[in-house]
Amino acid sequence: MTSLKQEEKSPGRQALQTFIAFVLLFLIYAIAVQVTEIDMGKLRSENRQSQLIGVLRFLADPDITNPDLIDPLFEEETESFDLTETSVNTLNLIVETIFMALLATTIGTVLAVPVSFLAARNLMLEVTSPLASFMLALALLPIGGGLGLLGARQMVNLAANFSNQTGLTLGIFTATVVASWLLLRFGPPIVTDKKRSSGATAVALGELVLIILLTLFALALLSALGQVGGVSLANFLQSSAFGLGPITVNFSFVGNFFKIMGDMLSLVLPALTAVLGAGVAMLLGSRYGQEAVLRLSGTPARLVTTVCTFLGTAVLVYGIGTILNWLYEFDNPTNWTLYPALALGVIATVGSLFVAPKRPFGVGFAIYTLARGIFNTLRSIEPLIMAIVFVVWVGLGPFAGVMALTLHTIAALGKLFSEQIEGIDDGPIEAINATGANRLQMIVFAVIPQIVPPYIAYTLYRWDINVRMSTIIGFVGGGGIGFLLSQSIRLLRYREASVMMLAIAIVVSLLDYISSSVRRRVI
Amino acid sequence: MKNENPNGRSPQWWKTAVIILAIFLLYAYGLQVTKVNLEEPLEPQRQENLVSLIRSFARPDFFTYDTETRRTAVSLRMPCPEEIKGSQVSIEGRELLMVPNCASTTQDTITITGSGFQPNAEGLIAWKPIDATTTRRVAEFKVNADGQMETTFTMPDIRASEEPQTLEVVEVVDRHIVGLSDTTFEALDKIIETVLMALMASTIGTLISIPLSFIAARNLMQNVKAPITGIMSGLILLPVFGGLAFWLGRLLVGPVLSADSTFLASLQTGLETLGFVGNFIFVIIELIILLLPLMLGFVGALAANLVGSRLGERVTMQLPENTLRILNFVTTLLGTAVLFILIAFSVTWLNLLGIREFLPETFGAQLNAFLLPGLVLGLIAALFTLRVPAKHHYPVGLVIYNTTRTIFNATRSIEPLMMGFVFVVWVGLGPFAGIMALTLHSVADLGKLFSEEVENINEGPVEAITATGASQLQRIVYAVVPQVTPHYIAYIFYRWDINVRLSTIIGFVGGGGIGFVLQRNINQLLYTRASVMVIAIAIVVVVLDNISARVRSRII
Repeated sequence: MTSLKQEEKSPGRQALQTFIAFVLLFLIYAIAVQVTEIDMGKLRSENRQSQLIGVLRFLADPDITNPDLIDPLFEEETESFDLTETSVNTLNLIVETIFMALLATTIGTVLAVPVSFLAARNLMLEVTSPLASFMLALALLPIGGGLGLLGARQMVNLAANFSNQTGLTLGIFTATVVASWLLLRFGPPIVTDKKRSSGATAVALGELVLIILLTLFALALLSALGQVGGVSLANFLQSSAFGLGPITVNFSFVGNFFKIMGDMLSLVLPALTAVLGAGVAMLLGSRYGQEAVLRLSGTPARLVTTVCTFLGTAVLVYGIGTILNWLYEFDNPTNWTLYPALALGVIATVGSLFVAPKRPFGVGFAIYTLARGIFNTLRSIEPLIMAIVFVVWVGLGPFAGVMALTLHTIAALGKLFSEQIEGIDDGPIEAINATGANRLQMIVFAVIPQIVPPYIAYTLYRWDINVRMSTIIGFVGGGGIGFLLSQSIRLLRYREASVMMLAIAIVVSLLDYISSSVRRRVI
Repeated sequence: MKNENPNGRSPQWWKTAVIILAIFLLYAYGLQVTKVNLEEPLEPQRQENLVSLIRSFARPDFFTYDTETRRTAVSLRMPCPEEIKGSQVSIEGRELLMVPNCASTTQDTITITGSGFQPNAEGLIAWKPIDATTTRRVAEFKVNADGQMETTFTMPDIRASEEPQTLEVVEVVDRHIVGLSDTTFEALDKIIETVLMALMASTIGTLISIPLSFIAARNLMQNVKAPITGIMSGLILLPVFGGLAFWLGRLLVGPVLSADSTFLASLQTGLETLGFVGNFIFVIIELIILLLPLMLGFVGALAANLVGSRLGERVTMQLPENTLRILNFVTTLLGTAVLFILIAFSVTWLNLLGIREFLPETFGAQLNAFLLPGLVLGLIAALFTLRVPAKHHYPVGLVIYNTTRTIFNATRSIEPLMMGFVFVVWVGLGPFAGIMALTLHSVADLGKLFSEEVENINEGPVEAITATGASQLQRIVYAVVPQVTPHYIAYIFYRWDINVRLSTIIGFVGGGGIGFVLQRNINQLLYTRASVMVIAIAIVVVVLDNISARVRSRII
């Protein structure tokens, strides 16, 4: 049909269309030239040309080594190959730059892998559940999260009490680990297939809680141990231990590493436990909600659905209201939390009456859309802009750059990874599903083996991008060689800038080459 | 082999341990070097900064508000009289109490309490100093839900006078949107500039990179071979033809560009009456005039190469072996010398590694200095030709291919932001510098991607067209171009997306676009304005990404 229509088009009309298209293009470019202030007079200007030539000549003559000067006082030749201060600074900063890229790529990849599964359409499309199930999950979320946060905080505080005595901490840590192992090994089994009495179930539950608390305590002790032990290890190495002289001083960074890891653990532990707690609560909620609706029928099922809907909606709206309150500091917080939560809860409850209790809803699709939306928005903001924000938070320096690059890496890799998952072959999935495997087993045995090579390829690709980005993130104060480079250019020290540009070009091409050869070997 | 080690797994185990240790040390050192310090983000001051940043970002400065205010005046004495008192005011149901009602130093605290105000209103205390034209903001306050307020402050400075001075309690009664803020207009203005920068850079970059991509394709270039006489006579003719054409071009445009010529200025004023269309035409005319000598020079050089290689080819086919050897010898000697002198001149012009220090200043003296080493090198090269069969064809194409590829790769490895720095020096701050930087990077990037596409084409059509006796040009037009067009379009869209993103940040180095304004706002702590810019960037990039993805999927 379309081809027929095209034949019917008269040549005159076609010519007119082409003409209009050309006029439009002409106008667009004319506006573009006007708006972007393109001015050939600037290219022609003698003054500007000589300025450019001057800069190019400075750039062609990098300030790498000091010239052979004969000291007028001693009439002695100085060292023939003597690096300038610029070269030494450049070397230090280029190392910093590479490590920024390394850290950002590593952390970003580690975080992007799990979230990429949430943004894969083919995996998430199948995730559906009845209304009661995900509403109960929503309602239980704050309880689980709160419990997790509380427990972890308590344990971290408890562990902090011992942090002054390294020996004692080590002892308690060992004791805790041994205790939890003993409990696991010799205590009553937590998970069984047999039916048990309510008393036995309570004992098993208590044991589970105890083991979780012991594990948290052990982790908290570990972080305290890292914090204190790291500092003392660094000091020990600084004071050239073992009589090895300057060798150990150079390795004092090992102590610093343990310190940072301890810091990170104590920082992340409560948050992570809260997330895990929320996740477990949601899992329980969705399972019991689903079971309730599927087992019950008629009015009881409807009742469960309405109650769950009310609770879930209320919790969701209350949570959103709390965030808005924090952001905008409203005059009457309850106007934004409690009242809308109740009102919308009632509305949703009324709405749920019109829905069949067993009707599956595409929760997975909602999560997929949300995750993709976040990825796309974050990806659209350049890491340099993110770095400006992080500089406000953590101050000038490479740490801000690492954070900005990490965030952008997560978004970019999350999207690329999830597209890889969408492109996989469905055959293995069907095969594994046919064996009666559950979701996790399906992902582990059918999805992961297919996506490992492209994941590695994309990680290496991102590593290349991060190396490039980390060379310029210093322009906004994000550390690395860019900061000094922009400084030299602003102070019109082009010979210094030339050294850094040269270093960047060499390092970037070298790392590009290495990563491309690694990629070829891996894939 | 290693796994079959009968003594067990110990070597494998050691290897793993060493690798793990090396990785551990690498990351430990990385954390040290990048100064990761997790206590920093937890410092109260820093957290406060972040919270205020996030809260300001949540309130983008989109609109201007009209505020309706209510003022309550209270009199204040500076300096304090002997007897210090408070003063009480009561107007229209509003009660105000100021204790004390005087200040002698900037350390004296004054407390104002009031009731009967509009609940939850915000307000400020304003002071109009004696002999000042504007009022000054002394303190801010917030009325609670019951209509009561209390604020304590100190005077910023003391302007003593006999007369009592006035403090005004200004309370904002009503706020309503009256229109879009200046920030919004600026963001709109700059985001359009940003997108148009990307458009210009992508267009010019594509136009330049397409012809270059054929030169950088291995499969097209490896068949290009020429006898030594051809290459060398091309080289000898190069400065002659190129220089002549360049000089001719200069001669043509010289009168137009000379300082006392009013041609361009009068053309500009004439075309300005046509508005932006006239400006566009003027810029194009100016560009042609500017590029004419360069273009002519380039064409001249190309013609020199063409004529040289044709001549060389014909001569090689017709001359007897021994005469050819002599000719090869002479042309190689001269050609290498010319090449050396050309390279030497460009290196000198660029002052590579400070070489100008060691060379004479005048052109003639420099030529003299380069002549001898050039001839010596030529002689060496010429002696080498004697060892090769006289009619041997050299792979010139591969040399050109390698050179182009290397230039592409080197240019690609320099970030556009760094190029932006250099172009800002040349054409000054503004979008033009940004366009040039983005264009240069686009040429290198697209050149490489395009040429890789050319290398990946199906050889079948090429062979078919070759079998009909087509020339190199016909082969490219009828066998290569149809195959690469969809891929080229895909890459152009890909580059367009990249250019849009880059043009949002090229302003950080002064290259125009929205980045410049964004950075200025952040540096001045105007976060609510910066928020508008970031939102504008996010919207435009996401929308353009979507559009280009859709167009791409329809075309390809």
